[in-house]
Amino acid sequence: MTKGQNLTINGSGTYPGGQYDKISIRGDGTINSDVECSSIHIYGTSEALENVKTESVKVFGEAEVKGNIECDEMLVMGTMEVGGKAALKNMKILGTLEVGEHLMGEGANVKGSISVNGDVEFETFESSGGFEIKGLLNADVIKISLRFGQSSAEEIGGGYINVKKKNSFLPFGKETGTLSVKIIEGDEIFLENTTADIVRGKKVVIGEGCQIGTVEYTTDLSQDKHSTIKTKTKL
Amino acid sequence: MNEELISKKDLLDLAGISYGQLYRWKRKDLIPEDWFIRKSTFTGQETFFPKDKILERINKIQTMKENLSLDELADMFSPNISDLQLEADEVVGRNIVSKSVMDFYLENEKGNHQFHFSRLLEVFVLEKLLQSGEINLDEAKMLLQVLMDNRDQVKQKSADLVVTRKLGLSSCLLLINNEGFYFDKGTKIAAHVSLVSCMEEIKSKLG
Repeated sequence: MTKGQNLTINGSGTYPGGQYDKISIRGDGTINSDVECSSIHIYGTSEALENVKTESVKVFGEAEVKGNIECDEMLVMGTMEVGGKAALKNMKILGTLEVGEHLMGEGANVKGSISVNGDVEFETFESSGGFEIKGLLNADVIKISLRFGQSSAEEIGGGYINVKKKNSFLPFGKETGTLSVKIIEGDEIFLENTTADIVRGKKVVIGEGCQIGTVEYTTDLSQDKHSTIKTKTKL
Repeated sequence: MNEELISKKDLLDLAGISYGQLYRWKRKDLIPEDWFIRKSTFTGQETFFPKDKILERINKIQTMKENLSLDELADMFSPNISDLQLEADEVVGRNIVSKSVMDFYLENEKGNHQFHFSRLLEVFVLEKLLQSGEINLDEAKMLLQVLMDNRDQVKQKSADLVVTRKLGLSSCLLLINNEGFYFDKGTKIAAHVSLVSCMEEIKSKLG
């Protein structure tokens, strides 16, 4: 990428897009056309009215991209909203991320919460926060720790799927999170605190606190006595 | 025409693959989104696939993944035309098209010696059909005309090309997003090629 100039917005301002090297927004900044740069740091509030392409994004404040975003490293400590598609190679979400269409990449680490209207595709997806996915969550390795609230997805599919409950950070109270999904399909599936209509897999372990409509499995199924499974089918 | 469908679990069983592999291939766009057909069944929701297409695709992926990475495979299957440019001599030199067919093409198409993907596809289709003897030179001219007039269509969609003969008269059809076709008894189908599979063949020859 040809290195352009740095763009720093302290205070408030509206700037055109184009190519920049580093962008840093400390007040309230708006970029009103497509922008390509090597890194973006947002400490205040920012808005990109069209598409963003960059190597690294760090959001400590609030950021909104109306179009699509493409980036290698994304760290969100504050809030981030993407109107279109988000291709984020590696993302770490400690705050919140909202995506209007698809979200895809290689590694996802969610400690805050994400909300996605389309499908989510990663090689590894780890969450100890919350998520709301309207489409399919598709990843080779899916590790979900349920600490709080209700997470949901329309479908979950992948190789290895592990859903575990964990006590929330609060020392008092034993509240943990729950997960509700329509269909879960994978090779190895381990579930806790999950409500699902259908679970299909090779090796399925249904742990504590699950309510499953149908389990279809090929090799093994084991079930905790505090969980319910309406029908079990060995294929 | 209704294609035969296969449910996801039957497919996994038949092809001997795992959920993990299937989902990985979906992520890598090796299997097109519109092949995933969701349907309600008495056991709940299930996903179905067009049987012949998916089995052929899985077979291809399995035989080729030894030599190619999944990303390279994805490039091969995607109908997007890469922005390649080849010289006419190169096309002949790489054994994609024979010299005589190339001369015939250049003579009739009246273009230059630079080959981008659309032209490469056209000359490749001619090569395929002329070499196999399925069509004669006059039919080849007609077929070329059809392809040239509909370049945009061919680029975007999945297209099939059919040459028919009836009482010594031949005609040529270009079918877009074809689901099947039927003729009266007197009509003979002289040739039928899927342009998408031709594209794949070219890509594998170039690769």
